[in-house]
Amino acid sequence: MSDHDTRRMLVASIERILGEHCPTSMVRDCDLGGAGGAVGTASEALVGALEGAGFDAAMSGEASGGAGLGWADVRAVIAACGYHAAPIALSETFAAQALARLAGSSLAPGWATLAPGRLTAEGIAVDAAPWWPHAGTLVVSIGEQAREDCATVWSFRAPSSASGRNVAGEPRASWVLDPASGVELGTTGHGMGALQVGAAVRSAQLAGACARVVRLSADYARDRIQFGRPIATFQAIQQQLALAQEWASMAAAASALALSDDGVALDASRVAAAKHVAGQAAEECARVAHAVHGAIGVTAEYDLQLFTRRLWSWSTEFGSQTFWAERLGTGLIASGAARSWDQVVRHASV
Amino acid sequence: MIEEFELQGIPSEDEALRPLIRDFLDRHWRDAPASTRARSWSGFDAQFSRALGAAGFVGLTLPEAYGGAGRSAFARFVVVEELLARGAPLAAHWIADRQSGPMIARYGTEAQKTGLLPAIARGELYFCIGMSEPDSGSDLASIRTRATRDGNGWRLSGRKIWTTNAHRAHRMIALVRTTPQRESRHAGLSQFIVDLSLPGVTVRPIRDLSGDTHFNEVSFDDVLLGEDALIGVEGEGWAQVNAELALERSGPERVLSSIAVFDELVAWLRDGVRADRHALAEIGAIHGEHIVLRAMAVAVTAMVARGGNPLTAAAIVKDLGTRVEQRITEVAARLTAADPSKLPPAPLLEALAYTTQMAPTFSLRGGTREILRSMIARAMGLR
Repeated sequence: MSDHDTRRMLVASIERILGEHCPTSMVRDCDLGGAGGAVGTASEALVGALEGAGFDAAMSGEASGGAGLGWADVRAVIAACGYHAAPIALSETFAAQALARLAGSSLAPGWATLAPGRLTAEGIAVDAAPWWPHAGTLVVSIGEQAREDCATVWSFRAPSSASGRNVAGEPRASWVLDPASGVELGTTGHGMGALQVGAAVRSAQLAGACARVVRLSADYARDRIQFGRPIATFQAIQQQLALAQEWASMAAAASALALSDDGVALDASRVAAAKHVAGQAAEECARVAHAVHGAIGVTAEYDLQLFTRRLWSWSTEFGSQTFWAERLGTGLIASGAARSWDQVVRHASV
Repeated sequence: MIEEFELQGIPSEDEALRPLIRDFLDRHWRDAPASTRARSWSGFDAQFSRALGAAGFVGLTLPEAYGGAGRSAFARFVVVEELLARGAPLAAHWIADRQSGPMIARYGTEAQKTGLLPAIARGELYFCIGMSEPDSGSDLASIRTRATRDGNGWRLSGRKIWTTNAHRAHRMIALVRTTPQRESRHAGLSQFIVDLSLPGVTVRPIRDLSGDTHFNEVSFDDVLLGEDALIGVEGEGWAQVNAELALERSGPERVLSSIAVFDELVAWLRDGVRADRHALAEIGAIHGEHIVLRAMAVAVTAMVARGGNPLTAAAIVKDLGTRVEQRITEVAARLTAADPSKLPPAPLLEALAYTTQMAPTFSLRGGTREILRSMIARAMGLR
């Protein structure tokens, strides 16, 4: 089967599963801890369907029994998770599995999460790390935050609970991990670590969520009648939605550029550009969506908030647009290029 | 809804042009001052255009039979982005190369093609655009310049405005009304190749706010055109002009108009003052957006190369691109004046002065921002 066919199949599969098992009512229950589960507990049906289709093994190395897929294969799957606000560790699992492979190792198939860590006197500290009830493994990298050329990657059993939440209501927590309880997987090169890999997958999730809020807003504007006509017929609404669409398109292109490798390789400038652009797009799309929706858009009952709260949360995780813009500026100055466009051509060429 | 941008690589045979055009630029465009480079595709240099044409870099997409290279849209993209990145003076041949030549290749008679395309490809024959009129800007279909039959030829009367380089161009492709307006306002329009040296043609330069005179008003007072002046089909002018506009909107120039200022700014932050975190974030944001926009522009070129007509995608890239172009002047202005005790180098300030004043035109020329967004809104099903 060609790469193209594999990718189409994966997209069809994730759309079918999320369409069937990830209604917004379930997402809402997850955020609030209703339906009998702790906050962040997705339905067994969703988790089971994804496992049944092998998604938790997709980027696990072939040596460990995984499918050994690459970014280009799963990028659209990650975006779909953003589009559906799926309360599932799929993006984090891909990222953790990719990070292990970048360190020359492999994670066994199964749900995982990841975070950049800091070496302290007490142990390995992680801050506001993503956590999911079903994700049993936590992958941590140390070193890339200090801008060293390589990072050491560790694997831990994920802690059993998380007391914090991000703005979207997704579980987040800070821990200090005992190195003795972890397994050192290896080292990465080129300064790659959880920060970059996490930023790359978040940029694709953001692109998916941006597409969703633009879609919701366009649909709302066509349905909502005021002054005797749909508000979509007013130029003020059309111009704002067009702008939001531009940003959503740019975020999609940016994440596609960052996640274009057939394997697990990432280009630092592309990741930085993707997370910066996706963060900007999230800000603009959330702003326009709430403007178009009016008061109903800020109610809990209406679905828009499920997506805009994720836009606001994800754009600040694994580095905000300011963090990555600074990295890009530092890199551009350090390159010494007389013509910045030479660097642009280098990094933008697929 | 809106199609996703499918990222694609530039074919290796077209990428192979990059070292060749860089070599040409190393020999023919060295050490140009920043203020000259800032003029970019507004800089008129007939000698440069002829040298570029002689080296085979003008009219790349025109058929080989008429002096072109018969190359793809990718080939032109590679050559043009290198020329623009170095601020080469492209104005003389720019419009002929980008749109007039391809229009003649597509809609022209054999006589028009053999008579005009070879000289375009040599970088010797220059065109300007005849669309806007004093009363017709965004509402292009409302133009009133008219051509009426006179024997075998036509009589042309009316006025065109904002005609870049009409004072130095040889020909204009003008959109005119040949049949009075009836039911459909888009019917009854035609395009003519007008020889600007004909009696009855008057070109009046318009000075812009930066002091340059590249704009003009062109009046036609009963100009007698031969029957070979009509290009394409009489009455099909609206469809033809939209094809021409699509050519105008899809290219790397919609991201590179202020690159000279950006590179001077980066050099000053690198070699002059020490860049603080704020400055690094500002230039880094622009650089990151450049990377993504360039990938999107190549994707649009790929759609064109496949024979598509990516109107919406081109509009998206043009609006995003021109906003970054304009933001560069705003960022540069704020950073160069951030510390009154540190005066930036004169070349940076000169380039910035020119570009700041021309920046409003980036989102006006080739379709205003609001028109582009209306096109996107239509594609979104909102109108």
